[in-house]
Amino acid sequence: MVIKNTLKNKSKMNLKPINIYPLINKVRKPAQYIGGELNCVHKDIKKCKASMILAFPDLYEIGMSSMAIHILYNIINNHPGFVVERVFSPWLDMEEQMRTLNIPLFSLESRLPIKEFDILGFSIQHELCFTNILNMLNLAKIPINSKDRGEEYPIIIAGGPGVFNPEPMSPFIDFFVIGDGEKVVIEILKKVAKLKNKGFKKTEIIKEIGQIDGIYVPEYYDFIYETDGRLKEINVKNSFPKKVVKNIYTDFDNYNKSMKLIVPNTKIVHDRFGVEIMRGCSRGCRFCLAGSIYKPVREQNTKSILKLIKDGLANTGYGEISLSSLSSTDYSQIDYLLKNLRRNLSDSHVAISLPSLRCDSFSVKLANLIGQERKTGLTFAPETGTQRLRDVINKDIKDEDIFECIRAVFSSGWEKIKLYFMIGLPTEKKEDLDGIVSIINRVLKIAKYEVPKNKWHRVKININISPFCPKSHTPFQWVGQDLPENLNRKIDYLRSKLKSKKIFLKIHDTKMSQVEAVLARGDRRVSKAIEIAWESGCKFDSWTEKFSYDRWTTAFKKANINIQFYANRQRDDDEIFPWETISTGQYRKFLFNEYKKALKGKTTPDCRFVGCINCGLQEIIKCNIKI
Amino acid sequence: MVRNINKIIMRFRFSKQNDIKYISHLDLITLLIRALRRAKIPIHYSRGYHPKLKLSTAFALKVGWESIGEYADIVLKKKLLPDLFKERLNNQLPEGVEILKAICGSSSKSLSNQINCAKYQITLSHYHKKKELEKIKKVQYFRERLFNIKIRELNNNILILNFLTPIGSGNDLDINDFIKFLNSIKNELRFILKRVLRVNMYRKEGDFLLSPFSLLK
Ligand code: SF4
Repeated sequence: MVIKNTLKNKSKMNLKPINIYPLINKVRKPAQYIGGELNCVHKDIKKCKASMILAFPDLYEIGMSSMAIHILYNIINNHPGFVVERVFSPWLDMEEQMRTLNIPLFSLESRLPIKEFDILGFSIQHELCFTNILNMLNLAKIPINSKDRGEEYPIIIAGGPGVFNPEPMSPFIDFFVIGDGEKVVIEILKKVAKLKNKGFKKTEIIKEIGQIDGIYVPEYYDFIYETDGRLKEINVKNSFPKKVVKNIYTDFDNYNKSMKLIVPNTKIVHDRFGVEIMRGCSRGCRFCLAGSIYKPVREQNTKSILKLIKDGLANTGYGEISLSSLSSTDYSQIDYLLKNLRRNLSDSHVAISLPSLRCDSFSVKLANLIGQERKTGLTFAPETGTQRLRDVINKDIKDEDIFECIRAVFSSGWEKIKLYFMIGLPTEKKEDLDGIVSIINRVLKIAKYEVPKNKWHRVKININISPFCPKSHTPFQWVGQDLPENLNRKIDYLRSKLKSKKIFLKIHDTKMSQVEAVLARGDRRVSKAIEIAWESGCKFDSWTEKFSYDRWTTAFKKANINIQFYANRQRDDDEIFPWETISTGQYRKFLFNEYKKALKGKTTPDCRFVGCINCGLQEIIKCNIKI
Repeated sequence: MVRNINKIIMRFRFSKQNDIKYISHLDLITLLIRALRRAKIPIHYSRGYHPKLKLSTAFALKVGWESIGEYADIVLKKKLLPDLFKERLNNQLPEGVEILKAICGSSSKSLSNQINCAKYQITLSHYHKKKELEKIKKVQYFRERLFNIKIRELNNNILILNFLTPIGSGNDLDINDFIKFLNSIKNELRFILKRVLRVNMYRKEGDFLLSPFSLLK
């Protein structure tokens, strides 16, 4: 008799860990594959009611820097009946070893093939990791298309900021988790545990889970297209919701109590104790996906943050903490929090860092207060060169703010600074490019004035320039991206004007940005191109040295995908978008008004300063704004 | 380099084995520092805008090699019983890293200035006679770099080599070179390096081997 390894009888299987040593003796940075870090959890998956794998489609050093992984890991493993383990994309040398020795992708904790878990959940941060997801499935010996996966395979799910337009990945993923995952992940595991016990088939389990709030099961949505390629209508099957509304989590204090960060044994990108002090941002920058999808602002209680840091430092031994959020200086109690931290931490010599500083002198004051590391310098994002264009994108900073900020930076002893600018924004003109040049020149002048002569040689002005890439669910979802050849011309122009030896330009690849733009607003048909691109060898597409525009354009061609139709086309006002099935809570009408105001250069204030401006969130949650 | 004169130094010997052998030297230092913080050892921090603690080690071990003879110095704020230090730190260390011995004292020289010699045990698989190995004793290059060679043969074509070699003199032995050389003595000879274990480190003065602990004041 053949016993099929179904979800139900998986627990009866004889699960044997994989011997990883023949693999890792031959690869670079083997430490990323060994697991066993401080605070990681080992449970017997056979004894758990349901098991899950958290999969991060990039290297360990990047995935372990993501707070989402740590948060979900804690929540699930703190639940007695459930277990979660981790897996990351192996680097190319490891992949080669695994394929040669025919070893499937395995979890870090138990070193079991990831195929053996009930649920495989991908954390999708951005579009350029799509091919890595297919590659991980393939390395795990799991068919990439949902329709080809029988009962013996795990349920494949995905969440994170990259799933708010789920369509390009919809044929590969059984269901998407939209919005905050903290609460819903337990509901999902409970359902799986209960139903597999009752002998439900996988498709039935998925259908049942589809009834939970914030779950999008692509199988139950049909997309009909016009002859010109635009969407005609979306048909919803059965009783599934027309719009899946994202989940919003508010009970941070709840999991904070038992949060234990895993401490990597090897260096990762953000090698410090990260605390999310606030989720969401209400500034309303019109290009920003994060701003749109993480609304409304939810602040963590200061007391609970202080406690979390105290316990966290004791159980990790970290020497640095980072207070993270989309805009940390907007945290209402930031002054109080930092003063307290300074006092509490003065004996233990722990450094504090504040990422995502607003470009104003207040931020520099805070950075001074915490004694932020001088070596690494400070980072700010003026985004545009002129006030006019800053009004278009609704970035609430004035030129004076920028210069005062820069003056404060150099006069308080920093010698390095990094500034972010965008090009190709809607309504951009030559004056806006000249504006970037004049801001940078002014920064240089300020530095010359403020920095003592004997330290001048250390001054470094890093400038990051990236092409604007329109994203779903933002006021700019209607906008066509500027063509790579235009963008490249603009870049050449900027280069020709910025010649100082103190200026270090870093320019984001315009072609990579175009591929990102196709995927970001792609529909279900784009999935074919992703599959072909992966088959032709695309992976680690966000890594400049691995990205291949040629492979992507070939894949688009083969899949009959017109790049410009998706990336560069201006959408009609009433066009149906592929992500219409997903709701961030914002009204389409609100986004559209924002878009029209943008074109007129009109700004919209932050709702925390002027009161609710009815973006739509008020219908699903009580925003806690104090004016 | 810290000038450790009059500073309270805890010198400790530790191991790097099991999976931890796959982490780099820098990662190992970070791991020790975090363990020291968790163990609430009274570490001394340098003064200044960004206080730093100083953990100094001697001679990085290659990723993948094992050791039961690593040494490190940490400057303390106040004296601490070595056994207490050992116990508290061991409670915080992962499997594979273990404090084997600790001594508190002072020293004007750093570990890497004091240590000049290491004892290794390497395991080789081979398909030939031990006799062939005796040849290495005659080659000039190795005569200068290997001392006290002891060769032990296990029955299943496994050879265990114990030797002393200078370290940090610019005249160090490259174990991979050594294997390459072994394989070139006779063409059909095939040695495969199975394991490298650093057994201990010393200060060699003439014929005497001094333990790094004995160099503390
Ligand atoms: S509903 Fe009102 S208060 Fe809430 S985020 Fe939107 S504008 Fe702000």
